[in-house]
Amino acid sequence: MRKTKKTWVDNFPDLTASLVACVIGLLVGFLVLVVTNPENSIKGFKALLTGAVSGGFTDFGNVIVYAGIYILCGLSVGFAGKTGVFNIGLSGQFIIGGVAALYVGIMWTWLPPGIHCLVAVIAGLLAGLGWSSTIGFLRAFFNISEIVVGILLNYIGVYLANMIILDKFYDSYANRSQAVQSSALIPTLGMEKIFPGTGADITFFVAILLAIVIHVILNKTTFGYEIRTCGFNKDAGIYSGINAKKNVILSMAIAGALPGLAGAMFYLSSSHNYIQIVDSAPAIPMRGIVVSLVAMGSPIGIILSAIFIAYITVSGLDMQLYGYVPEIVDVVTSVIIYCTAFVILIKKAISTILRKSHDLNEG
Amino acid sequence: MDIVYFIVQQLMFFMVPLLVVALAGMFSERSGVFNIALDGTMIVGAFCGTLFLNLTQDSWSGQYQLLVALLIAGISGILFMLLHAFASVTLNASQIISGIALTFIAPALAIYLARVIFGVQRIFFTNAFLIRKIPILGDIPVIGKLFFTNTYLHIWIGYLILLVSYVVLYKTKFGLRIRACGENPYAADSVGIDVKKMRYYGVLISGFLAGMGGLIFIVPTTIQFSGSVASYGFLAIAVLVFGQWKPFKILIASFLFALAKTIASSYTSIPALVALGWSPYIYKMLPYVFTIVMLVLTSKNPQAPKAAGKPYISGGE
Amino acid sequence: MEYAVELLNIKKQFPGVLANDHITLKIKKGETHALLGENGAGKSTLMSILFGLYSSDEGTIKINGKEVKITNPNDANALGIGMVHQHFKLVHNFTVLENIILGVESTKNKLLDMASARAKVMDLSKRYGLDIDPDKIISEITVGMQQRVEILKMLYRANDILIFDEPTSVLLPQEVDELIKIIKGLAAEGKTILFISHKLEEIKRVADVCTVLRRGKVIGTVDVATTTKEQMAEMMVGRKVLLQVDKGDGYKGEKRPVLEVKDLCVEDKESGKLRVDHATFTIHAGEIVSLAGVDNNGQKQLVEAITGIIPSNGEIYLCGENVTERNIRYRNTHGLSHIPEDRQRHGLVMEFTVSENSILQEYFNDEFQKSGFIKRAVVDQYADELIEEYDIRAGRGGETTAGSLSGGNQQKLILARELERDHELVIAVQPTRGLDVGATEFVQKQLITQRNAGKAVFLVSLELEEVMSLSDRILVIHDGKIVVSDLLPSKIDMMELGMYMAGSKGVDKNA
Repeated sequence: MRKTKKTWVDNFPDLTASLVACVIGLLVGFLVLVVTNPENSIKGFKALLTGAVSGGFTDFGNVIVYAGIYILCGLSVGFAGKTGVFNIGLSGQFIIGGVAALYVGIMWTWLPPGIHCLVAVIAGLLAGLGWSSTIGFLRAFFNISEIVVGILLNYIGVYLANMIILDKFYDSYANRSQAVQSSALIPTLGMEKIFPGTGADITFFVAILLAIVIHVILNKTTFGYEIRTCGFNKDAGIYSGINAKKNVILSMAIAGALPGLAGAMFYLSSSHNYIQIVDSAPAIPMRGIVVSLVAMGSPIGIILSAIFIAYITVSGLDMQLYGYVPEIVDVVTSVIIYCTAFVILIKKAISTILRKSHDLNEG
Repeated sequence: MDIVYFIVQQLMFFMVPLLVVALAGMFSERSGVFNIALDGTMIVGAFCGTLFLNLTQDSWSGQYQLLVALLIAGISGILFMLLHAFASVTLNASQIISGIALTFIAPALAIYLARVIFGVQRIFFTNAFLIRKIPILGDIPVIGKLFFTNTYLHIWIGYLILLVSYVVLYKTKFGLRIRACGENPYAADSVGIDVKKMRYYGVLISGFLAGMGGLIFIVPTTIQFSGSVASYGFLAIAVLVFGQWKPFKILIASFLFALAKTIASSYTSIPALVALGWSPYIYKMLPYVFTIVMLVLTSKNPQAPKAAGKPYISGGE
Repeated sequence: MEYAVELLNIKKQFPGVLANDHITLKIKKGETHALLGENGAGKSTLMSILFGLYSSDEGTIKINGKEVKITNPNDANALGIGMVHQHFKLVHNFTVLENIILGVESTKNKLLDMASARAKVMDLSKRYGLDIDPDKIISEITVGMQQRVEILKMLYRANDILIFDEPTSVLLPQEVDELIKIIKGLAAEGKTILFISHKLEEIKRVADVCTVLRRGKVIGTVDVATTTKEQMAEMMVGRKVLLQVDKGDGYKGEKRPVLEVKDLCVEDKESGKLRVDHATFTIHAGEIVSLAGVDNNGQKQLVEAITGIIPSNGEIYLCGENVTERNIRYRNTHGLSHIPEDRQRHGLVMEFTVSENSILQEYFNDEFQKSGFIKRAVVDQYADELIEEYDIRAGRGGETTAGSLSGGNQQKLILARELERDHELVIAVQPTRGLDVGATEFVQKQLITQRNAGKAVFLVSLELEEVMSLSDRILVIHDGKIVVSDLLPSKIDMMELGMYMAGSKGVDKNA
């Protein structure tokens, strides 16, 4: 058997394809800048790449905040993806989790300080879990597209959340919910001093912890084994006697708990401890999709891609100060998603190109 | 009675975009390609259409301007859908990821470009297209007031599209072949039909209709486009499913949905409902909850094109 | 006399198998020419080349004396060649008429002209005695009528050379009679007919001439009227020196029944045909029982019913316990081991490593997990043991992905997993398919070891040599029925076996 030299691509095919997708996304973003703002395009692109670094501690804090949410939402999409289900219901799960946490945080003041926070967080987690289980149930038993139901539930979620706020704890002056009691706020471990005004707290670290937990569940438990088996090869799952319907519902439940948790923790932080009444679903959680696709669903990869996406998100916001339009970040991330659609083809193409050049060199 | 007229007119405004975009989805899925890029295509169409209207509003107006705008919207939809067609048909990549990607690219580009051009996220246009009364037809008692007053040209274009779609799908060679590609591409291939080409047609037609649908959605309801079509593209998919992928059933499904939405948005004019004292959000949720119920009810006997969503690899089975 | 079709020196190689070994076949115009052969004989491949689905590596094709190139079905169609495939290529929710005209639709003013098409179709239908209802939906008509639609497709396109690929495999007995009448009618009209089959009875009824293929080569061409079924069967299976497999001492213990199947029936959902027709047999401890038969006669459905993958009527007893209503996991954990036919689809998860695949049937046992956590070290060690004992060549040991193993090693992995866990019955379906000589020998040795140790082995194989050399007892399945269940390899020869397989001998021959 001829020994072919192992290239970088052979060892890390997924990572390489992800990097290629990201690079293409950034390049397209640059192209858009060039077309729409030619004189400033290079400066703008540089701002996109380096904005967050030059923003000091505030930016660093913001990156941590965003990364935390992105990790949790990315894990959600990634985990559901392992079973073969696409969780697009992130916004709905996020806001429902948020409103549940707010409910506990504002109304249940009879709880002692530490417990108050814990219960609020758990409430958010369970609310998100319940919300996504509906999707899982409808998909498992009625074979209804989880994407259509997910989007519908995003809207229903926002309206339901607003309805609850208006009914229970409305602040009519500012058109938003009342503020969460301080006894329920997420502990910050002093981060508000280092990163003032950003709302940085332990969410990021909890997210990393959960990424590790999800990684363990997927790769080291029998449950994770069943999930991965059915996700990769439904027939082998049947052959082994695995109950696919049960798995779909359970994994969607877990997938919804994560954005629910993210929503809960987001609104339980001092810089944004209220929900504004708007009629649109929050867009931030939806970035979880690109985070997960770039990392190909791998929990550890999600941590890295979340930080990357958070980084360019913050850079994008910074760009506003210099007159650039921050939505360029959305353009970049959505193009990256498009590229991940044929990531397998990218992988094959790269390894063929590299192998050909190797053969030429050795030939 | 005036309330009834008003409600029916409003209903048309909600129904027709849904109808047109659901038909767009029908062409794509009937040829065998899942299409969750409909919403994004609507946004692209709406963006290009309203941009055109905005740029020409000082020099041009009237129904012809609207017609051209609709055409531009449709063509931009085709170009945008090419991305989906390329990924799904030529590369046999994941149709879901491609669709989701386009769902995000569209608003990102639309908002970005709007802000670059206008400084704000909105494109304003003058809406001078309302047809107060169609001559002769508008004078018919009752029906005239219901359908032929306070209407728009594109509402009728929408109905025309429905009829044309029906004829094309069921009465032409093209329609027969496209349907074959969506049900059993291997059978189609065995009689010499180029499945990939047919699927391109299906997807690009859906691009044209969805692009137009975007503009049709915007014009009657508002005077500005701000990067969103309220997820109509996804509601259209639900309508498509409930309509069992058949043109006239889709009409009924979009009617029912539009009815729910109209009641939701104009309940303040119905004293009986106001008296109930429900939160306005219940009404906002109504159409969406209704849609989920619709989906559950139709899940028992799905008439989905059998080969939809499966990548077609020629030669094998 | 001009030949309608000449296939000259056709060679077609697939990876590992020479499907057509320089085949030369000449078919006269107006002749009904049968192609007889077992699975893997090469007949379907040859016809697929004629119809343009495959292209040959070497050789030429002549139609009506002129050399032609056929690269796709359109070319074949243009030359007047049509094919009725074994798996129909019909659109299930179109009408009969729509299916017939698809691809050659006639139009009037840009719209479909169904009226003239209908007239033409009904005319053809009457002329050839092909009874159909043009407005019925395909999914609602019988399989017999569906087949007539496929035939009408050919006639509508004015095909003169008609290929039928195993046309009776999907038909009920009375529909077979119908079909034979139709084919005779077509022949009377001067059509040239190619009829692929493994059923001697039908070939006798329908064909003028029969060419027998075996292992990619033409064995001979005979005049059907003057050749006996026995002679044709002998040509089909051939006489061979059997590879001697050392069967050891055999099992000396108690021969208690391990698998009992009583009146097992599996109904095909769409056609209502019984794919498994009241199968009844018993397999005891310490014996290898083979199920012989030509492909697609119900073997797949029988195995899936026993393993629990599909529902069935009748009774199944595993080690004395009635498991008919039990699910797959119950059967797998109460004595059943299964080596599936399609190793990549059912037997392994290609993306998993060897280690992960090794516990596919046992990951939930206390041996491999505790409180839901997989005992990685134990699993890895187990995998290493399997690799060692079964000589699985895996470049990175237990960490190798299953997808990167060779076919033979993948099979060894499945074997290792299934044979090393607790079981009383092993169902092995086509266990040596696609394997080289060494791997084949290994697998066969393993099955014998199982039998000597007192396990029951149910071997489903299309390889007659394997069946004859390994079995203690042979069952033959034909058209879903067990036509015989007590053949002893020492007492019969290949020819007789071939006769049973072709439905010419055994239970209910005259039913």
